[in-house]
Amino acid sequence: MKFILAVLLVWSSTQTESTEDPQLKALRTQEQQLAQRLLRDFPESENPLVILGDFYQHRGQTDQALKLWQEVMKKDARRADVYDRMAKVAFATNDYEASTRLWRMALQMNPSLPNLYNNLARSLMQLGQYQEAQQLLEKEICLSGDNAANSLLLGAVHLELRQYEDAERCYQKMLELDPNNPHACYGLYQVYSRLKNREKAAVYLKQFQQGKSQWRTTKKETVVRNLSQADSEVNFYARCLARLCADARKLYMAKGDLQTTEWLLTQAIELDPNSVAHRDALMSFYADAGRVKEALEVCRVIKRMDPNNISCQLNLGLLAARLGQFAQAEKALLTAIAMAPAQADGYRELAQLYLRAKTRQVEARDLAAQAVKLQPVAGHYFLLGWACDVTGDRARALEALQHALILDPQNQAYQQVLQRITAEGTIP
Amino acid sequence: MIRASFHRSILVTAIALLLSLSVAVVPARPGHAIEFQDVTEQTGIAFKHADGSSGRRYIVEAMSAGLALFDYDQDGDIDIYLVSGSALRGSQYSPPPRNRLYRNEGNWRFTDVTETSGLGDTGHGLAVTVGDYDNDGDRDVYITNFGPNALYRNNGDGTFTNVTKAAGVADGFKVGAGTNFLDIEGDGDLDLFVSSYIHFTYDNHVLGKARGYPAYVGPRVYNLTPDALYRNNGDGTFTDISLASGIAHSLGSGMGTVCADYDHDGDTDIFVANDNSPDFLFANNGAGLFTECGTLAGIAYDLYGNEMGSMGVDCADYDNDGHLDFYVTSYQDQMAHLYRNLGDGFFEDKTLASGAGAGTGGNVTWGNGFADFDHDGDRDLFVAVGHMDDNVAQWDQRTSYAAHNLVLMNIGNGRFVDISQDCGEGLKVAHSSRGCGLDDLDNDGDIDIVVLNTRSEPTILRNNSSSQGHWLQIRLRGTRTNRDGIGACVKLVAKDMSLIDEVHSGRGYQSHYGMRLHFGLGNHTKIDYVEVRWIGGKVEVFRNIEIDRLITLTEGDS
Repeated sequence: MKFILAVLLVWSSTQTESTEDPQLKALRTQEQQLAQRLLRDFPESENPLVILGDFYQHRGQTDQALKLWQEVMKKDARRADVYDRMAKVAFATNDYEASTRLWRMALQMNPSLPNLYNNLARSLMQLGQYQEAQQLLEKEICLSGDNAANSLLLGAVHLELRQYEDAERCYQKMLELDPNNPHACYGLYQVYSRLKNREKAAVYLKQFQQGKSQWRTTKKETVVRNLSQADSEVNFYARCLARLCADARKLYMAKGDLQTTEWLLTQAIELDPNSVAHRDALMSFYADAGRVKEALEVCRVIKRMDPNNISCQLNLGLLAARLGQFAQAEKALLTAIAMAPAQADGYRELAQLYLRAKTRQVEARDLAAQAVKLQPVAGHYFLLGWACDVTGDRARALEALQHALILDPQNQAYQQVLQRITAEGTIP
Repeated sequence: MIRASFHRSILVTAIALLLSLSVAVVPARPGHAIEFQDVTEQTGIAFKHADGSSGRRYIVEAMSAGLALFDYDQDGDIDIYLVSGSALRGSQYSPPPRNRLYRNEGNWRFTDVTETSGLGDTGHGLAVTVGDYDNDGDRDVYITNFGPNALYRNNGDGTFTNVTKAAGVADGFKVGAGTNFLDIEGDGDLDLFVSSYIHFTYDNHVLGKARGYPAYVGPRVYNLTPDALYRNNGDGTFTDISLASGIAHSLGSGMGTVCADYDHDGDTDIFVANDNSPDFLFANNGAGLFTECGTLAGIAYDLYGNEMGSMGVDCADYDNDGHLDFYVTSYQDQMAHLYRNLGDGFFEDKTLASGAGAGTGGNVTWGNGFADFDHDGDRDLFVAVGHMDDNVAQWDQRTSYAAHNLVLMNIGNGRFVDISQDCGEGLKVAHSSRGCGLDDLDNDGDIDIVVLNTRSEPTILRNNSSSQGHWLQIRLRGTRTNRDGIGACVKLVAKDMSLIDEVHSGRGYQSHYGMRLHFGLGNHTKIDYVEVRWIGGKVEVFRNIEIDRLITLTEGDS
């Protein structure tokens, strides 16, 4: 491992030319120092090579990335994540036979990862092997449920196999999950055209064309915006290095080295000051470490950078609540609801805020009911049960808790609370 | 013990997989006869394409150009016309680049006749097509440029005259793209379709960036310009009917084009490969009125409804079911697409199921063409490959500026197999290729290939396939319809085999080739009949046709 990394570091240093931009030179030095530090601090682990491979991959240096991952595999040939990485490279270079073999290996190593089924199915589709792709996508759905991506792929498989009713079912499912999705509409247009159902075909063709027209306008705006903000070579290098720092911090975090974790995150932000993701990670780090004030400070910076960021808005509320700033928390969560009225998160968090503060409990119940309506998951039913109980609606509380248990029957906490409420009539 | 051996076997498997990924191993292919030899050097062709580049990366540089393969002097062999760009702002050439015409002298020798022919257009050339627009028996040439286009009338004595102004077909000052002669209303003379790419000027130039490196931008950042259609007035002049015909009602970023009767209703329709916008299929109502129906027909997008970075297009009946199918090349990370014609006005995307996308997604694909290289009775595919950015290796090691072109062999059951690494040293040549043309340059019956390489010399590939299959080439001669039978559909029946083809002007990536129709017959030694449906709908049946030769079928002689 040391040898291959040394080779790559030598390679990296040969990229430095005497005429090179001093900023590029400085970044290259920083990259080498970080790589050496990772190697020194994790002598027995192959994870540094994995993330350094990711770094090269982001920079478009696929050959270097593959060399590192191959080195990892020599040490531990059972790493599904590395097979997955290598398969992605093979797929992106259109070597579908290799990507298929590698994803098969990945699945053999870890059959519980749903995305591997999806990836292997995509690879098989490129080879025209639809029957097996279909089986894999069905397995993926069993493991992780329907989502837009697997419904679209499965729809395409059925379309290719001329199983039009099945294709129709998949595309309709996709529309349930993502109404007006142009890909689903196009799939349905194709299905109904083949079935000679002109009326329905016309409906979905129109819907597809409307969706595409909107998409095209947005796409053009995005392309033009991205061009105006296009990276220089230095900025791109810095962004990749920032990502490497952010990845490296996970290794130090797992080791319990909080000081280096924090340093790496601040380095990432320094290298890529426009990244919300790195600040978000630093905010989470502070929040987890109990440094709530610092977390709130970072959160406010994110809010200034990305005013429409819903998750940041929610975090402003949650962090303020942790600091006992009820009014600020309430205001932030109300803003989150106003920003995304169709998302359950704001209603849920505000309901919890009220319930924990033992105030506005009737409003809390209504908010919990809204969360259930928008996203009928076990946690939201539990919240509704709690709110109903404290507002004296025992029957509805019981009903909600029973729903929660139907959706998550193994949840012991729900079971205990249900038993207690049945026996004593209160939720703690 | 069991555990240790399990681990060892996993390790061995993993290392084997890693090796298979890092070393390109060509899987064993079934034996095949297709082989190409690079004969560029012996042809004496000294052309070098110029794209006008100076590091500023104007989008028109990356488009590069196409070529034409046609018999300009009626001596019975196919000559080569190569299109070049010119000096763009910031670049200098001495002498100035120009398009070049090479006369085929036979035996793989070509003579540069640019000066004497007068066909050395000095515009920033992008595309070319050929057709006898004045029905005087010789083939005229139309060139699209970044700037005014040019029409050259063949004087019949080996020289051409630039008649653009008199004919009224300069088409303004646009970024021209694929172009075709076609008879839109069956009146016997050839009209002219001219696509255009984007609205680009030096002043609205945008420099792109990829991973921090300078790169060409895509067409999305520019406004689009409508394609144009010119009606032949029959007196050497044309009238712009772009709006009246319905063509100008649609906006796309046109590149390669082909005109063909996709719905078999007796008139010629128009397909436009659009880069980053849905491809167009203009359906002709027979009177020269067109309706854009690409989306409706299922050919404008891929299977998922994604628009492609379409580049070139060709059409032929790859599965011998009597309908013309379309093959469209596209940008990196998108496979070239095969659309199978279902015969009821709809197409299905058969890219994956047919294997016709094999090898095409790793780089940008451009020129393309169907031809039966091994005379086994089905049409194979040739695809020209090459990235736009000469610095791509700095920021994407998955691909390269210069690349090997592709041959996809039709194995007869609706599937193609990529045999590029296994069909002779001619396919080992690596350039950044653009337009290509497929025709029989040495009159030996099989189809050879010419490839235009950007900023470089062309590649001339001689077909040395060892197939024992029989063949037939058909040249049409219209008497009441246009002289070369452009738009006519030919059906050849030999026992259980039924093949179709059409005469096209303009195809592939901004190129022209293949006016002599070529049929591989496999082991069939007798042709039952050949049916020709001329533009306008008249059908003639020709019998007593000998094989393994080039024949001429004249309208009215059946």
